[in-house]
Amino acid sequence: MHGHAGLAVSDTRNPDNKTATEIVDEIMANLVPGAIAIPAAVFELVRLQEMGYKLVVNH
Amino acid sequence: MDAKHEQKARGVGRRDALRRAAAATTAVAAGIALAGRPSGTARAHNMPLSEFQDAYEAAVNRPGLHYQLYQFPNIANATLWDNIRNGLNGSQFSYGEPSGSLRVVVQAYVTGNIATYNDAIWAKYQLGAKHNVTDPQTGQPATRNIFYPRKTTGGADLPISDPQSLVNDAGMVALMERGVVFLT
Repeated sequence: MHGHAGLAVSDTRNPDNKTATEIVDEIMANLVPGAIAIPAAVFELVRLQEMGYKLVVNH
Repeated sequence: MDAKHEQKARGVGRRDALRRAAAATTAVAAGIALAGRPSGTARAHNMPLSEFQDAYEAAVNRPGLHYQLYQFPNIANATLWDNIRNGLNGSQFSYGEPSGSLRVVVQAYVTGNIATYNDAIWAKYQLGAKHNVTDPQTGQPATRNIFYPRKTTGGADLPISDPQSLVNDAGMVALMERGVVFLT
C-alpha cells in the first residue's frame, strides 16, 4: 500500500498532489467491502501457517 | 456440519489454542531478549492493534475442516482466482464436505494489494495502466477493479452445472460470499 502511494507520487499519477501518507490514508478509506487491512503482510504468511493454515502453491 | 466434521473442527481449535499458548510463551521470551533494542518501526508496520485485530481475529479463526492460505504478491497471477474457486468446489462437490468448511485466506501484498482497492482508487491513480491490467469490457487499461465484481448472476442454490451458479464465479464478491478472506 505504501509502495503504491509512493509510486503514485513519484511518477505523477497524483492529481490532488497529495503526499504518500495522504494517499495511503485515501486507499485505506477506499478498500473494497470485506477486505481486511493488516499491518505486515509477509509476516502474516508465517502467523497463519503457525495457526494451521496450509500455504498453497499458486503459480 | 455432521458430528465427524464438528469433532475435527473442534480438534483444530484445540491445536490452535496450544499453538497460541506456545507462541505467547515464545513472545514473552523474545520480549525480554529484545527489551533493550530501540523502537524504529516504519509507519507501514505500526498499524495499531485496535485498528484491525477484531476483524482479523474473527475472520481467520472461524472453525473449519481445512485451512488454506494463498500468497498473492503479483496482480498478474491470473491463476489465483480459479484456484480458489476450484479448491472450494473440490471440497464441496468432490469430497462432499459442507459448504464453508474449507477456510481460505488470501494474503495480498506488493501488486496483489491493488485487487483490494475500490474503483475510485483504480480510476484516480490509473492502476490498470501502471500494472498492465486490461479491462475485458473495453480492451483498455482498467480504470475499475475488474477482480472484484460478480461474474455470474445466480446463487449457490444453482447446481454447479449451471454456468450462472455462484459456485462457478471466481470474482472477489462471490468468493467472499463463500467465506474467502482477503487480507491486504
